Amino acid sequence: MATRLRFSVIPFSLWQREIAPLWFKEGSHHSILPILNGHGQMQYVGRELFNRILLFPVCAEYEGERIGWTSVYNISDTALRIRGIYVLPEFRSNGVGKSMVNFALNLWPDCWTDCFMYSRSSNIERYRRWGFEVVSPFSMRSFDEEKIPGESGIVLMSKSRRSTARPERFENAAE
Amino acid sequence: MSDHPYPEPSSAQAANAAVFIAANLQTFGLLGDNNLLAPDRRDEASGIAREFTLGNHFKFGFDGIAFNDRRLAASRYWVEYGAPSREHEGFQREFRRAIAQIHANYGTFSVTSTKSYIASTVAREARDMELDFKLIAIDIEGFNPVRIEDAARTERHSVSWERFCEFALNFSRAGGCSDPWIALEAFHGELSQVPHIYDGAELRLINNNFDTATKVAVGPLDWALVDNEKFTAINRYLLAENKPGIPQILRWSPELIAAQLDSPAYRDWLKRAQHASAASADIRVNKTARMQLMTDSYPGLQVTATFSNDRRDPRLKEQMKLLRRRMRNSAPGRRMQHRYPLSRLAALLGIAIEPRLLAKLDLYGGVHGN
Repeated sequence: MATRLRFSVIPFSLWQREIAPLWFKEGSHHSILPILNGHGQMQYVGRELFNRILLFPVCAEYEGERIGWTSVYNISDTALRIRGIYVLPEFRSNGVGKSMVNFALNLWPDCWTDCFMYSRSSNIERYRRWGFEVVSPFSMRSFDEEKIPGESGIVLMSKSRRSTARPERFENAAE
Repeated sequence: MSDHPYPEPSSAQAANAAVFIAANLQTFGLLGDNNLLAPDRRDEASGIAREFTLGNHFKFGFDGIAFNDRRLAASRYWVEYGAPSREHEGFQREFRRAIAQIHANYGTFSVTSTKSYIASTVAREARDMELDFKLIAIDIEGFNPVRIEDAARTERHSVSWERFCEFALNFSRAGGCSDPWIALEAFHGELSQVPHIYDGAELRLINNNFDTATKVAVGPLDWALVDNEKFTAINRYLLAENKPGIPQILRWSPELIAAQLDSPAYRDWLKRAQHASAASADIRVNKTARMQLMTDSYPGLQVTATFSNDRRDPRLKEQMKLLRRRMRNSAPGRRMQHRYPLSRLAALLGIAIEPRLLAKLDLYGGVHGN
């Protein structure tokens, strides 16, 4: 599968439209925000939001078909936020999500040393396998919007980029 | 290779963040070619013509433009504060100075007739300084009349519910706000013939790690100054109507903001919040500090938290709920917030707050100089 898997950075407007039905926002894709503050994660203020933040909307393609989406942006001069990892159900458990996140993180130089995300309760173990850990002493918090059946909430997870050997920055292939 | 753009590679693996950002901002910034949602946003002119705060040090807007209207559902709300030009002289002196400056700039002004802690202290200071000002009281026909504390200065208006609704719906469209209580406050300025100092837009500190649904702390204390989009709805309405007014008296000058955050009331509250139990409301928001600051500064003055508390009319509250729905249908307001980390705000304002009280989370990293 890996050889036929490709990742790209796509326009945000396209990302917004493509991810909307997967987030049950079909017809209201225009309300999907480019970035979130994430309960105070954002350290930039005022006009810094527009002259310091970079946003990379990312997608995964398998044999030319879009099968996964995520995005990454900087929340400070040293930390990143991964948001909204989504892989179509029929392509899950094949390493697509992990490879896509690695691709997204490898777009950034080393001075961004940490990466954060919020994980649903059911995904914690998956993200642990990807190298993320629940940030201590944070605990589970409620969903910002509607509850998701079977999920108890979200929790802050992070991954250090300091010690991870990474492939060439623009290598456009799966691991 | 993909047809889509890729970031400019950094010159070195450990490149300076500023270099990488500068190299990629034009394409991957929030207003960059790859992420821009409305192509004309970058060229939009600023709409400001009035002084809302001293020298308009407090700025707000959408997508990097100051004093503009929301254009898109995904537009990013932002605010910015100016830096002080001197040390503050304490809350009461700075507050008094603010009101004197407003009077010097605008002449006679008005303020809402209410016991709310903002409007009633404005009136108290104006009275003490013997400034020319009016109190505006609005009675809505069919509901409890407003209590009048100072009949000689009060300009009383009696309006029908329908007339107020018509105003509120216009207000929601111009201000992008579906809160009928803010519309009612804005209505005071509408009926006043002189610039109005509006009640509201408190200095609200929020603990980012308080889960409001379960009412427990889910992480270490992490304070931020919150600016709700609706706090500037009256500004947008005033801009649309080309009317003068002061919608954020507590943000009038950087020194006034500094004086509030640096006051004993705020410092005591920060200390208490640090030791509060996880379920305590004290660690969620600084309402007690805001009220304490006023009662410390104006002993004996009976104040309420909001002007809606004054109305004490359950029928009006019920009608306001229904009106909120109509306003939302007419122009759905957005609930976007700008959160300013308290550690960064304290640095901007030159306030020395003990690091343990600031509860700054080093976790998320810092922002270096431009």
